[in-house]
Amino acid sequence: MGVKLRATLCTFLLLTLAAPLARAEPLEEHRDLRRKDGDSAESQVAAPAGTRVASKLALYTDDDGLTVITPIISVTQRIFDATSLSVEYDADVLSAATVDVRTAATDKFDEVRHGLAVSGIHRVRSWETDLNGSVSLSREADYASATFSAGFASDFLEKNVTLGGGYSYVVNLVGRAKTPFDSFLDILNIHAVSLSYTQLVSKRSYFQLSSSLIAAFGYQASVYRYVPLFLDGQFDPASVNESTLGTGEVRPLLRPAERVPRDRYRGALVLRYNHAFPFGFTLVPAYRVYADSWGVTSHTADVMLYQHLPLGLVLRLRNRFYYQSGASFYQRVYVIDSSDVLPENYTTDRELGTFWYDLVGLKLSLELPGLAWFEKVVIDVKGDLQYTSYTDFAYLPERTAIVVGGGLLFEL
Amino acid sequence: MVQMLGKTRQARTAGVRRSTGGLTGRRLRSLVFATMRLRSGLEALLVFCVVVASPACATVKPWERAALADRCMAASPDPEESKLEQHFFAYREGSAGGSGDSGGGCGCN
Repeated sequence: MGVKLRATLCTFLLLTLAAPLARAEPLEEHRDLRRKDGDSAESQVAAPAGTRVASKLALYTDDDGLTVITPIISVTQRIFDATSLSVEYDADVLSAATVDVRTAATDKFDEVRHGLAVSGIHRVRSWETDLNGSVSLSREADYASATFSAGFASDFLEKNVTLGGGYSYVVNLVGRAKTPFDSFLDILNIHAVSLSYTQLVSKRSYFQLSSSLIAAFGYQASVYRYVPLFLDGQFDPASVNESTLGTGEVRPLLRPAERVPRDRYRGALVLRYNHAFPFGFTLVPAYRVYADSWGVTSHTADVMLYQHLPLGLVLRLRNRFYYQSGASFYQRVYVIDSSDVLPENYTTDRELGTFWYDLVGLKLSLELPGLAWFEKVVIDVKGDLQYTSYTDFAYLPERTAIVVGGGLLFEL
Repeated sequence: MVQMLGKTRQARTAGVRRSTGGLTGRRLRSLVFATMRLRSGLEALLVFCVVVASPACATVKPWERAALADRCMAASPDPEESKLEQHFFAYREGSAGGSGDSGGGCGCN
């Protein structure tokens, strides 16, 4: 990152922090109808207190040899009466010796990705509408991307109904590690449109229906993934696994670079229902259905239980079950008749095969209101355990992963 | 309400047109197939929504929303955690990407 860019960013941060602060309104005033979802243009922070500083640190590790540490810090500053700006930095520090790496007979590698995002949200009171926009950049050794998003959320019927929508454009530059972009460069363009409908159902519940359509054009394979193609009749397909491939017991005829279609259309629909029971108990079930033009379909059932405990503690229990069917061109083992005729597409990306996982998690957060000069301080810790079963991936039948993390939030 | 839904439909149609501008016949066919696959799930969800939303015609007044204002009732009570999870699921699920996640690379895949 250049000195000039760093200086610009520092100046921007200082200016936003020094901007005239409007007296913070209680957050509850903005929470009468929750419209914010995780999706693209709607993931902006709802009008917060005067200044909000949040940080997270998460560690992911699994028994497939992958470790990722992800820090994230965001500063949101309310400026004027109805506008807030956010600056966010995140990174992925990863160390990988996964089955992809092992079967490709390459060494373990370490990598760092940096991400920076600037976003803003403005409330147009006369229209009962929030307008938001963001720009984010992400950079790592072999990949760079930029995302531009804009969206809106409008309240209707005395804020009993909220309609939201947004559009995102992502441009990705795909390179190869230790290879200049001049030597190898491909592009992936992604357009995403999202819509959401939120309605209060009672004094204690609401539901939200959200959908997104995504069109991706360009390079969507991995430059590091090479697919073993076996000659028909020369081996028993059931015997192919990491061990037999590694020892040379089964030998592919060819090992070309992965090839997948350059266009992909994806659609997802999510229905979530939030209900607050008496005695501080909240139940949030959600269901998601997804399909795309590569033939992948998936179903996700996610349930979260919140329980308020004494001393400002909140306990969250969670279970997420995910099932996915494989892409139409995905095969456990690719068999060819000769090296002259190859399949149109071939991949060993296990995330394009059939698999399911279950994730259970626990999170404990402690809210300390009015601590010193802070209006609110929240400390949280969490732990997730994920078990994945790959139904038709030859080189890894299952994977167990752990995610642990914690966070700190200040509002003043 | 009918008028509002009409506007929503128009906006959705317009959005699709914008996002798929310059579609070739092959691309259009792919999009239609993906939509058809969604259709059965979509119909089931719509029926569910109608059933759930029916009693919602009675509006909830602002002073009746104490329970709704609880932090746990927010669709995204912790935006930073949501972002981390989106990022995490984008790499662990073949169906991810609906969030327009910008992180790239293949290292952690």
